[in-house]
Amino acid sequence: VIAASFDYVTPTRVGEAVALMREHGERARFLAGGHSLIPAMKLRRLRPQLLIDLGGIAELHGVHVGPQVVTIGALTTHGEIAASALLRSVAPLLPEAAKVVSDPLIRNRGTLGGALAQADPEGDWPAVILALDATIVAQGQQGERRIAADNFFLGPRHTALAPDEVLTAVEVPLPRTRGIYLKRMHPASGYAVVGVVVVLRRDEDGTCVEARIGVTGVGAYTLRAKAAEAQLVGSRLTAERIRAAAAVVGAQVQFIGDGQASAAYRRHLLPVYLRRAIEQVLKVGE
Amino acid sequence: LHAPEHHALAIDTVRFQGEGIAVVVAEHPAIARDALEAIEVKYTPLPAASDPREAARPDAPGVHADHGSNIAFSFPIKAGSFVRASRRADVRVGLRLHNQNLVPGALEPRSVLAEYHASTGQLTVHSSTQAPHNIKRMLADVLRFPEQLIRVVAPDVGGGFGAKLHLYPEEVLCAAIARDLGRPVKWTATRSEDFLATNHGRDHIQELEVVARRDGTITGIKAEIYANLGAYLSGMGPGVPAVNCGMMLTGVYKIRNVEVLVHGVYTHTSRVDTYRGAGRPEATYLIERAVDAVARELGLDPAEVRRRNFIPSDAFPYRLPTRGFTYDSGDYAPNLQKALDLVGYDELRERQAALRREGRYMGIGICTYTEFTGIGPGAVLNMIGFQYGGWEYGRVQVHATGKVTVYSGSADHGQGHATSFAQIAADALGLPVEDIDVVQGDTARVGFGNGTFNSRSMPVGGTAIKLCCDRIIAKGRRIAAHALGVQPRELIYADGIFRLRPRRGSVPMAARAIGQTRRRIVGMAVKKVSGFVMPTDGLDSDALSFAEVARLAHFVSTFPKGLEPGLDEQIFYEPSDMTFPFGSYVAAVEVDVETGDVQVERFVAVDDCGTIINPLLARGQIHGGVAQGLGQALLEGAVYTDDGILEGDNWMRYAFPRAAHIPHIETDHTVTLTPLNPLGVKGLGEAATIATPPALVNAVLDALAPLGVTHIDMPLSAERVWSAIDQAQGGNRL
Repeated sequence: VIAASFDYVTPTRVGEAVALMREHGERARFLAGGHSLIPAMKLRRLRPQLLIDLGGIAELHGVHVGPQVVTIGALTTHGEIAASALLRSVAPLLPEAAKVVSDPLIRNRGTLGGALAQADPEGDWPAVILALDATIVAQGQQGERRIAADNFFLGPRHTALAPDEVLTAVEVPLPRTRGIYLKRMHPASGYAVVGVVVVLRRDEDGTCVEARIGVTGVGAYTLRAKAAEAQLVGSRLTAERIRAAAAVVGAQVQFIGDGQASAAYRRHLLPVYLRRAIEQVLKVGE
Repeated sequence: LHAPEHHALAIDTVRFQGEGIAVVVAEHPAIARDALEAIEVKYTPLPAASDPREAARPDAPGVHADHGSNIAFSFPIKAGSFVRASRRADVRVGLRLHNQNLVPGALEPRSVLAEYHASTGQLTVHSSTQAPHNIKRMLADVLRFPEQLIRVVAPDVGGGFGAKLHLYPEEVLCAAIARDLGRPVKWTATRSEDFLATNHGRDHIQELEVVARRDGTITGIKAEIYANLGAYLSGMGPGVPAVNCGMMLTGVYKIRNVEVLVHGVYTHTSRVDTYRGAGRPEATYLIERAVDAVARELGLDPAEVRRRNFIPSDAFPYRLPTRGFTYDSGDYAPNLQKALDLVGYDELRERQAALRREGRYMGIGICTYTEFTGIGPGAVLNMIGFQYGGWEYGRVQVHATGKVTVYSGSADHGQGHATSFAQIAADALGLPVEDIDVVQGDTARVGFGNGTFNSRSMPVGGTAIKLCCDRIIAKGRRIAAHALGVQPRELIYADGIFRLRPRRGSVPMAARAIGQTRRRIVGMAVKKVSGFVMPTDGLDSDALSFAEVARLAHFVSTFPKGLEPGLDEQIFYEPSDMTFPFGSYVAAVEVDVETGDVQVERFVAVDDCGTIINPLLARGQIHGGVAQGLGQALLEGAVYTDDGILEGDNWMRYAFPRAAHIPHIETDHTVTLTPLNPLGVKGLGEAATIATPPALVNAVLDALAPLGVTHIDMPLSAERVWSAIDQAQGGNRL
């Protein structure tokens, strides 16, 4: 497998990368970890003539904890997130989710920002980011802007990023109660066949005051299961209410299937995974 | 047997996705890749047949126009009378099994580098192959090139599993182009090409019926097998289903009435040929599923049904009722018992009952298998489609310093021969293993060979080395005896030293004294005339080391008359018959009935391959084989669309087992020697790939027995398990 011929540049500042993209337009692609782009290039499904490698831009790396949010640089790898003691203490769902991203090779090269910009329907991070109510920071010609996760994913592999915008960081609000990412990994690809992220906030008497549920793997794109969330909020999270949430979790999903798991099977699995994820959250909470 | 012509590139008709149509040669792979895209091909789509059962029907799309039917051959195997056994039987079970199409998927894809040396006329071909000498001969035949000028080199091959055993179009193309261009030509398969164009394995549709008495005695088996051969015949394509599978269907059981019909069927898929186990996995899966079905039908313990049907240990050598094979040695019941003890069978059954009361579904699956290894003699090879002998070549060369080079025609591709062959030689020569170097995989260095397949490297290749070493010691003994002035029988050889036996008669003592005196006089005379001191010849001592004898063999100052100098022996060892290892595998699984997930909790493998030469390498073979067997049982399957397109020609979609899929594997052995070779050794390389799938599938079906599930085809993906439960429950969850 040999990619079609291309040029390669390594800007050191985001502004430089943005300018290069504006100059070259559709013939150029940003390169982050490369774990989606490079295989596609090797199979010649994609043929960018210019790769703008973001890897040399220092400001895109690293984790920073502020008073209200933890900021994760877009080029932070899954492996770095998984191993971050800092994140483990302030936002443990992130390293927990990072640990089940595919395999060690991909975790060591693939990046958070790359995965979000790619917005694969079976990807892990979009569902996590949605459930955590995170904010995506992007920089383009017009400067920097913040996009709420809820407004970021527009469709299959389609995000709110403009073509010449660089996803620079992800801001996760603090504090968050514990969440769970329950993933069924595709035995070959490592993507989610079914992935459910559940983030719950309960008041002192155990009533659920906030529920955010991210769903991945089962449909054409990652989404929040708002109907299921509504079943949980205001409840004491009884078995009955969990069942009610599970019953509607697939309401907005257009199920997809492949050789490993048909659409019908995914439709069956999704409520099972939601129920099990909520049960795990409650168990961790005890 | 209908054998169609198989050209290195398709002429007019492409019969499977992956068949070459054109070659691009360039000075850089990137240029070649760009040039490939510039080729415009206009295909007229033709109807395809990819399922062997469907392709066998008279109205199926034809693969070879010159042959009316897609059925290449139909091979009947018969013994006794199944009809009579069936009339008298108390129970009858029928099964339809699909032993699915598998992609071998060696980590190193096939790769060929050919170079023509115009000055010498030599053609050197490096190839990632399991059989360099046979590739050399076939290249000579196909290219009409003088074989003595071809060298095939296959160093450190990165996995083969049978898929790198046979001649491929790319070997022919690279060699031909290198010859014609006078430039080196290299080709390495991409991963997708490896999926599409490297031989696949298995792919049988099996319809069978087994009849038994109420006590569990199996009295007859009837099977009709439709085996996919792919679009063309590969080296052993027909033999795998016809002989390796068809003649092995009765496994470790004494079943007298056999009626088997094997159809080899052309389809529009990649060629199907040897893949680790090659026919025995298909046979073993069939009989082991059937034995479990009989046990279930009769409400008997599957372990007990196996015991009742085992070929008894006093029946060996056991000639199959079909008269095809003779099992050399076996002792099945203690081997099964060892596996059951290791897994704690009775406690597991108790736990299973307890879990069932809690609504949890744990199952225990057993597979007792036998297979044949060290394929040969030549007549048997010819029968299964190989046009060459069953021998293996070995050579043991002792250097003048006493260091040793061992040459073997077996060709390592991950088996660790450099260690195991050195161990065999070290033991046989009484030398430290580091004094021995092993050479293989290069036709310029190793004169002859047949290669590595059918777990033959230890029983055949290893025996060849052992026999060469024995000849070395015999000759060394004559040289040592002569030097020491005694008869060869007066020496004992141990730990690298030829020694005089402690007690000797007075006549030999006197003869030796005379000899010593004579040489002393000769020595003095030589010194006087020439001024040189004669080298020490050992006569004064009572012992000579191997290295001293090696030196004497090359510096022939005192050498036995009529004996050639040198210590260098070669052999073409032809085994008298095949060896039949056996074993018992037990799996315990728990099934999550809500998702269909199968969790392997215990996995026990107790093999019997006679002598174990290297326990670590043996365990490695079992671990790797269990992984591949688990892949077949739970994960893998090459699926062709109705248009003949392979779905999932990559690692993103075809689910090979990864480390996380592999359970803890508990291994053990019993040792039943083969009388057929001096090492007592049988092959082990394919055992676990053969025995693992039935153990796992039987375990899952055992787990789901209370839910009424009686059959699921491999791979037992979670979805298939879940929907089988669903269907058995008469549900409509789908």
